[in-house]
Amino acid sequence: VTDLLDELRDANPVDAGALEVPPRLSARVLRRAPADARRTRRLRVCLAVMATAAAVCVIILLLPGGRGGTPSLASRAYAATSGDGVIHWRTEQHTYLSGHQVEHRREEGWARNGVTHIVRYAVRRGNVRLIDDSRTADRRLRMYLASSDDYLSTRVPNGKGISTDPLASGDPFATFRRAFRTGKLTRLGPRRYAVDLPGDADDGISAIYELDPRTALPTRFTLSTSVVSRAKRYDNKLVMRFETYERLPFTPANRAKLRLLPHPGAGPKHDPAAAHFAVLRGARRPGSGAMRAINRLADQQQHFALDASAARAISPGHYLVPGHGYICLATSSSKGFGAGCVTIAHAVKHGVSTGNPVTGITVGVPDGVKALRARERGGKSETVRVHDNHATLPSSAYQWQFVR
Amino acid sequence: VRALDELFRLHAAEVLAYALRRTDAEAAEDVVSEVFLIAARKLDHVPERDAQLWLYGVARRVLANHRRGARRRAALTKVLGDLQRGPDQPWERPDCPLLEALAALRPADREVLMLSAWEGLAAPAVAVVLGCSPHAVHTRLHRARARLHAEIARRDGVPVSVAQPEVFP
Repeated sequence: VTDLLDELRDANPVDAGALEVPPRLSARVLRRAPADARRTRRLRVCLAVMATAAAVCVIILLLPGGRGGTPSLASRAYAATSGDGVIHWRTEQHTYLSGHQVEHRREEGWARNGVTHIVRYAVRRGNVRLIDDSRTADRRLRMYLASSDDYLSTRVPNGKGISTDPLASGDPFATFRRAFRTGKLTRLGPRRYAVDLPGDADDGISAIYELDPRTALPTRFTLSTSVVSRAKRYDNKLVMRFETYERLPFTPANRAKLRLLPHPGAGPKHDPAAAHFAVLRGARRPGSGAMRAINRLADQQQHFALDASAARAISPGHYLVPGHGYICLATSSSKGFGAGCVTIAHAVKHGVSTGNPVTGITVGVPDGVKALRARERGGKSETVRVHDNHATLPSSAYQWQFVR
Repeated sequence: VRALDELFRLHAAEVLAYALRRTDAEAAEDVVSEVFLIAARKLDHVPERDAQLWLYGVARRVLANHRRGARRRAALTKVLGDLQRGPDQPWERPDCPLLEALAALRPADREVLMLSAWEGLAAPAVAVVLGCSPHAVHTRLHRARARLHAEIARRDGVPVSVAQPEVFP
């Protein structure tokens, strides 16, 4: 597991800093563009005048007497969801690729002044499974990822404008309010509104909100994209149904929903791996060749804080390497060196694995596990005994269960 | 016009480098020319702070159009098979397994890796160029790295770490 990005950086074929823009290119761009831009601007002015005239006519026709109409549904929606308080939503999201549903997600979130807390779940055959729990404040995102029982921290871009991703800010109705404020909302029907997203209209992206005419709250959001690949057109869609969208009062109880607490019981902890893997307490140390590779691994993967000196061999060519909250199973052969790393909590529950299609999959398991029951491609199942905290499964195995 | 001059002066080299990393020199100049022509038409839409990322985003779409055009032309001359994964990458080198493996990746994986490693963009900036969320970039980058790693391993026959499978109940 060398850092491929560093190697790629070194292999950069073009150094932009040393690149000279050919004079013929400058002349070509700066000579062509102004004339073209002037033409476009003239066309735009004509279109703008015509559009304004048309809009005035429509308004006069739609409003009898021209004055004193009731507030539009969009302005009622804006008023109902703006102002002080904590926005709270619950949505069901269905993703369709070329008409086929491929994903069903459930989301619950709270937001106030750029501080958000969002919990997302995957729904599959009636089972609901946590995907992640993310909290954002001061443009810093901290996300708990359930699949790896790990945290991710990153910066998020300033979300004050309408971005090409209408859900980027977290609050699924924020884009509607921004579009309303900046005049980028188009009424499509009595309760449907489209948001003008940045970019070309022919990009094939549309974002449409549907509102409840009685409460003026959102009921549905549809994001459609069209992608042309290899002369074939793919129409994809995300349909979000709003179960709840409300503005809660700014009470201590509602404010607590936005508190930046770590997810309860989640993430790597101070839990020495040696307490769970007997081989780390007594097995032999790796040889000098493997130690060099393990030291390199520890240097490159500092996130895991690996303690190379505590590495132990579990079988020829396989080594358990404990870290701070993490554990890696490294494999070494004449052809190379690789490792799989997970949190210790994950390893205690499901094991840590590495392997390849030729030698099979080696799984490091905690103390007390006597065998692994593996499910293989083609529907076959097999039980494999555990020795010295590990078992080797055939490469066709894709799931396994501990037998204690 | 002055704003366009300024935009070109500040970012032409970066956009040209972006294009040169993805196509040959002749096509790269066409791409840069088209990008700044679009910028001239949409000067009001070019963000002041992230102009470079906006230009990368336009260049990405212009390049995609060029590739589609190349494929259509190739189909006419019945050499589509040679161009299935787009025009040859200018940096493809048989002596460099890393670049060979990069060339073998899907365009979406290749693009997120190149934006990160060669354009030197952080995940939020990559998200602006690709028009997706930073979460999506992190996921795509993670997958693309894994696929690049697997592609290199596949070519060399070396062991690779495997994804942790789900455990069935």
